[in-house]
Amino acid sequence: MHDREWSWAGWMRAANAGDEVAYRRLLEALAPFLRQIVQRSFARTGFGNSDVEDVVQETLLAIHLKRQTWDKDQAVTSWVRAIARHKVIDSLRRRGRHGELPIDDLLDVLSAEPATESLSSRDAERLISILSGRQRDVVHAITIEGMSTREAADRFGISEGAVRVALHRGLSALAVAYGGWDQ
Amino acid sequence: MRTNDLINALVADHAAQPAPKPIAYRLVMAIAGGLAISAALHLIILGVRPDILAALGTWRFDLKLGGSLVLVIAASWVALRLSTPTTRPLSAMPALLVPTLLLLAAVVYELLTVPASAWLSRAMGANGVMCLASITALSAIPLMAAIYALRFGAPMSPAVMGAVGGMLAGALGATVFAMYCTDDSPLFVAIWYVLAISLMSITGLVIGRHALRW
Repeated sequence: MHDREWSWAGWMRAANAGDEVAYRRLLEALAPFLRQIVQRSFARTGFGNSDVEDVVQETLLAIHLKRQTWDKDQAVTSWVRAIARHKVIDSLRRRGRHGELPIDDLLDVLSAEPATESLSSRDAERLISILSGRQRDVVHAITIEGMSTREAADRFGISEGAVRVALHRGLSALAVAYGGWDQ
Repeated sequence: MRTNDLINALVADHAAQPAPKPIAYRLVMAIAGGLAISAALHLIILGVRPDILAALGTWRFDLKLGGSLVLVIAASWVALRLSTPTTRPLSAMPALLVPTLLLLAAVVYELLTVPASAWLSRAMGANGVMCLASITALSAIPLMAAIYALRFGAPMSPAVMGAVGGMLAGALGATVFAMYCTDDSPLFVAIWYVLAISLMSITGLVIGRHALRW
């Protein structure tokens, strides 16, 4: 437990200082942790395993977009857990079950069987298709096709800076779309 | 989309901007910008009260202005605490006791030192409704700026965050309006200023419920 916090905090600090490899390690380590949290919460509330991966991805996206709210004196684990809790509650509310959830003890137990990654059940192509032209192209190229920003820039004949802007706006728009609420 | 594909995109986005601006920076910019625009509007439309220099030498005026500023600071501090997802809404609130107790103490002192026959006229002042309308109008732009800055946060309760943002905007509007307003009695402030700031808090709450969701 302490080892985990120690590595996560180290990666988080390194990532804040611009270390991409550390950031990737962090997110890759967070994914199974989040999967466990989401699965357990869903199991407790009788939702089974449907759409778990959607909520995992939504939470990763939130962690990414809100990474500046982590304070370096704070435990990464509790910060991540707070974001996961917010996203789980949100997703349960969207399914119309709220008020009666034992939310506080929902997320306490964490010793679970290792979860394996599955595809997000939501149709990714459809989700990405809510984005507008350039954002959709860039997000598609970088996620589904696994391109780098450089490669995407070459493919679309635009600058790498323009790719970054489109990617960032696209991800923010995806976060909104995942939540199923409008702004 | 596979989760690893998403991680590719997040890492690429992180590489483009490894260290997003902290909320504190964004909030300070919002306060400075909101305050500058409100102050400019105020100078153009209302102007500073003619006896401002003399007023600065009275405790009532200083307390009205200082108290508004204390509320600006307290509400900003609470908003910053609330912007991180681990803060429970209630745990950040005690900071608001500082301006509250300050005002309460001033009200008690005023009641003890001013004869009861003068209480009503002091409380009603020259124009309470004008005060209410001016503070809410002067708070509108600071509220938009505050909500914009707070959108970068991750509050446990977007509604509470919105209410605190509204309180901050109201306090900024009150600070600016205090320069014009000639009613300095704590009794007037406790009614009209507090009413205006409460209205802004409710507005912030309603806006925040939607605008600050994440």
